Order: sequence, then structure tokens, then C-alpha cells
Amino acid sequence: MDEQRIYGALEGLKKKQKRALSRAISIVENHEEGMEIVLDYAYQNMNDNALLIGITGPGGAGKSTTVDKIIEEFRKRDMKVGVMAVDPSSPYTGGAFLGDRIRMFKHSSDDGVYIRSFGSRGAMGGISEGTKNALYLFKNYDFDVILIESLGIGQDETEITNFVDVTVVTVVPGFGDSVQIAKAGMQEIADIFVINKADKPDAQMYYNQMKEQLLSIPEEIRPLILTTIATTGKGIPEMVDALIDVGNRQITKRQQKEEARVRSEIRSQLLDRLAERLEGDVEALAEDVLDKKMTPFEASRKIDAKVTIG
Amino acid sequence: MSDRKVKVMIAKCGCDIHERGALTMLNVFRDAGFEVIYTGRYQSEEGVAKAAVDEDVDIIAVSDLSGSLVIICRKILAALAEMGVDDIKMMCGGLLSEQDEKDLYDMGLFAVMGTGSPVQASVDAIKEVMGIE
Ligand code: B12
Ligand SMILES: Nc1nc2c(ncn2[C@@H]2O[C@H](COP(=O)(O)OP(=O)(O)O)[C@@H](O)[C@H]2O)c(=O)[nH]1
Ligand SMILES: [Mg+2]
Repeated sequence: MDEQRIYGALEGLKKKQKRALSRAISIVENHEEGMEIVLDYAYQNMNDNALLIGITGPGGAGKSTTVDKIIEEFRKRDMKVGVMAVDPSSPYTGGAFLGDRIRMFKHSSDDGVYIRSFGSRGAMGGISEGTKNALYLFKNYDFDVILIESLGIGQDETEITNFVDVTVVTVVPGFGDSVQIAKAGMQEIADIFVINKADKPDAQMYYNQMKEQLLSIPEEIRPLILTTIATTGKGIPEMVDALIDVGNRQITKRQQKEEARVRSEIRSQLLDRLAERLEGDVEALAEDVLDKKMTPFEASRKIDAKVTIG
Repeated sequence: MSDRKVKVMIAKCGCDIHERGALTMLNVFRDAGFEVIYTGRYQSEEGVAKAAVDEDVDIIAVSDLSGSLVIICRKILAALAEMGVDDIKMMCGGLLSEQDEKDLYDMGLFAVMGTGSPVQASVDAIKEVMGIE
């Protein structure tokens, strides 16, 4: 363990230095030895002051452009903003082009804004373990709002709702019909649908379609639908009003979400640890299965038995 | 099990319009397994330095074809020093004179790549300075 690195970050975290936040995120994201020391502290000392907003949706929908504009709007209202922007890592090389920040780069010299880019690093679609843990670090600082931009709509994405107060799903006119929206499970996770690129000709039609589709959902839990043109900023002040408004109402669900989250978190941390510890056994028995010496089912039972004995 | 990734920020400052070199290196670095952030064009040196610290990048890689590499790199280094940061490494590429190249190495950059230099040389330089393979 690199004690200087770990304890250095920890000390800085206690003093709420930005630099330490940057370093601590790397430690957690890289799974560096000693990261638990930082995470334990962060978990015990986090505050619940920030409004947590998740923005998800298909690539190219305009999420980053929207985030850029809502940062601007929150800053006008004198609120401090933290941003976590997740882009996909290549499953082949592990490399990634973290492209979200380009759209928001002008905020780099504003001390009231902190933006951090993440590669999804193996997480299917949604947000990685490292990203989730980084949120605890963010919550040790005095942000009024924390925005998480992540790519994609899919099973993994439903998880993000347990980490944030408000889930925004950004779509664009022409992105699938109402059946596809339902199939992707988006109406269950969205608190707000934002139809971006409202400058496109079929935006109104798309809005009407979606409105009709959502009528089947009881009014109290029916997602809002907003329209924006992120490139010009049209609809952004209204969107920020809605985020704050929905956020204030959703905060009552924090307890409920935490309960769901804590369980899934213990589970995934545990699975991570087990997977790491048992990787050798998996490799060894995979050979046997490939050589037709045993079935995959026998292999897993064998490893299971080993775990039980300890 | 550490899962450390090399993190590079490709930076462009000033009013230089040329972007192909930066975009080429962006793809090259991603395919080499690095995580790459691009600042986009026309950024200030202070903005680049602050963003690099927030992102905790290992390397700032400056691209410029207007002949201003020395000026830009000097300003970024000054902005980093101002923040008390001395552990972010710097490299650059683009249009430069022999004198520029000498000055840039004197300033402490670990690699200076002129136009026409093979892209693999940049990848190798990063791997060497980061101590991988
Ligand atoms: C294409 C081009 C343009 C395009 C740019 C399109 C774009 N968006 O990128 C357009 C037409 C817009 C353009 C405009 C101008 N251009 Co012009 N342009 C070129 C040209 C022909 C090719 C550049 C290019 O894209 N090469 C392909 C890329 C892949 O190569 P590269 O950029 O050199 O990058 C490689 C290496 O340098 C290195 N590298 C680059 N960056 C980095 C970064 C890192 C970290 C690393 C490791 C490596 C690295 O690796 C790359 C891959 O091998 C060059 C001449 C030339 N052959 O270089 C002139 C050239 C660069 N342009 C020139 C000029 C003068 C201009 C203008 C001022 C013209 C005018 N009077 O309006 C304007 C600039 C206006 C402005 N505000 O900047 C001059 C620059 C001279 C100087 N001393 O400044 C050149 C050299 C032409 C000349 N011989 O006069 N240009
Ligand atoms: N016409 C139009 N283009 C937009 C709008 N919002 C974003 N874009 C463009 O859509 C592209 C993708 O935007 P980006 O924010 O990177 O999308 P992301 O992948 O969802 O983060 C960019 O070229 C934006 O300029 C909009 O409201 N109207
Ligand atoms: Mg984006």
C-alpha cells in the first residue's frame, strides 16, 4: 500500500481540499490497495445537502450539452455544482474517449464547479463500481447539486435511480416509438423525460405521442415531460425549476432508496471480493470444463464447497 | 487488484483552428488503452491546468499548429506551479522549430513530437514515462 498516497488523500479530504477529492476518486476508481480507508471515512462523514440528479439516455441525445447549460443556470442561482460524467470504455483495449467534458469545458476555471470524467470500466452500460463509490467522496464536499451523466438505457440503468433523487431521461424526436420506450423500462426509472433537440421538425408529434403513452401511469407518479433545445439553452431555466421542484418532493424517498441501495451495495462489494479471490479457481476449473473433464455446474459446486470450508 | 489506467488530457489553447492532429492522437491513445479527455479548441491555459487537476490526469498532451507550443506549455506549467502541482507530466506535438524543441525539453516536457512523427512514438513515450511494459 502506498501509505503516503492513501493517508495524504485522507488528510486532504478531512480539510475538504479539492485536490484531495481528485486524488481520492482516482484511488477508489483504480481499486488501489488501501481504498477502504478512504471510503470508510467518506461514508461516515458524507453530508446529505446536495440534490442528486442523474441524467441518462442514448448517446448523442444531447446530455452533455444539457449538463453544460444547467450548470450555467445553477451557477446563476449561486449554487455549487459537482458533475460526474461517465463514458463507455472499450471492452477490447480498456481505453476510453471521455468526451463529455468538451461540452462543458468552459466551466473548468470556475471554482464553484467540479467536473470529473469516468470510463465505465467494464460496467455493462451504466455506471461502474468506482463511479458509485466516487459519489460518497463527492458527498464529503459542499456541493448544492451533484449531476451524474451516464450513457444508455437498459437494465443496468435502473440502478442509478437508487443513487439519485431525480432521474432524468433525455430522448430526442425520432428515438423509437412509445412501445420501445416502454420496452426499455424508461418510464419506470424516469422522474422527468426531457425531449431535447426540440428544434427538430417532428418534436411536437413526439411530445404528443409520449404524453399519451404516459397517461396510463397514475398521476402522482407520472413522469413530467419537458422539451429543450440544449444548444441554444431554450427550456433550460424551466428544466432547472423542475429539477429543484421534483427533487424537493423526491427527497422524502431517500430512506426508501437507501434501503434498496445498501443491500445491493453489500452484495456487489462482496461479489467483487469473491470474484477476485476465486479468479484462480475459475481459471483452473475452466480448463477442466474445456477438456470435458467436468461440467460447468460441477465446477461451480466445487468452488462453492471450497468457499464454505473457508 | 489495482486497475490503474493511464489518463491523458489532450489540450488545445489559443486561437489555433487545426484539430486533426489532436483528434488523431485521441484515437491513437484510446486504442492504446489509455483514458483520454479532450479539452476542445480555444481553451485558456489556466482552464486546462485546473481541469487536469480536477481530472487527476497523469499527462497533459498539448497540440498546436500555430507555432505557439513554447508559449502555451510555459503558461500551463506556470498555472500548475501556481496551484502547487508538480506531478502532472507534459508532452506536446504539432508545428515546431528546432529551437522550440530544445526549449520544450528544457522546460521539462518528456516528449516533443513534430509534424510527421510516427504516432507509435508518442504511445511508446507515454508507456516509458509511466513505467509500463
Ligand atoms: C488541414 C490544414 C488546415 C485546415 C484545418 C482543418 C482542421 N479543422 O483541422 C484549415 C483549412 C482550416 C486550415 C486553416 C489555416 N491554416 Co492550416 N494547414 C492544414 C494542413 C494542410 C494540414 C494539417 C493537418 O490536419 N494535418 C494532419 C494531422 C493528422 O497532422 P498534424 O496536425 O501535423 O498532427 C500530427 C503531428 O503533428 C503530431 N501531433 C499533433 N498534435 C499533437 C499532440 C500531441 C500530444 C502529440 C504527441 C503529437 C501531436 O501527431 C499528429 C499525427 O501524426 C497544414 C500543413 C501541413 N501539411 O501540416 C496547414 C498549416 C498547419 N496551416 C497553416 C496556416 C498558416 C493556416 C491558416 C492561418 C491559413 C490562413 N491564412 O487562414 C489557417 C489557420 C487559422 C487559425 N485560426 O488557426 C500553416 C501554419 C504555419 C504556421 N507557422 O503557423 C501550415 C503549416 C501550412 C503552411 N505550410 O503554411 N489549415
Ligand atoms: N439540433 C440540436 N442539436 C443538439 C441539441 N443538443 C445537443 N445537440 C448536438 O448533439 C450532439 C451530441 O450532443 P452531446 O451533448 O454530446 O450528447 P450526449 O452524447 O447525449 O452527451 C452535439 O453535436 C450537440 O451539439 C439540440 O437541442 N438541438
Ligand atoms: Mg455525453
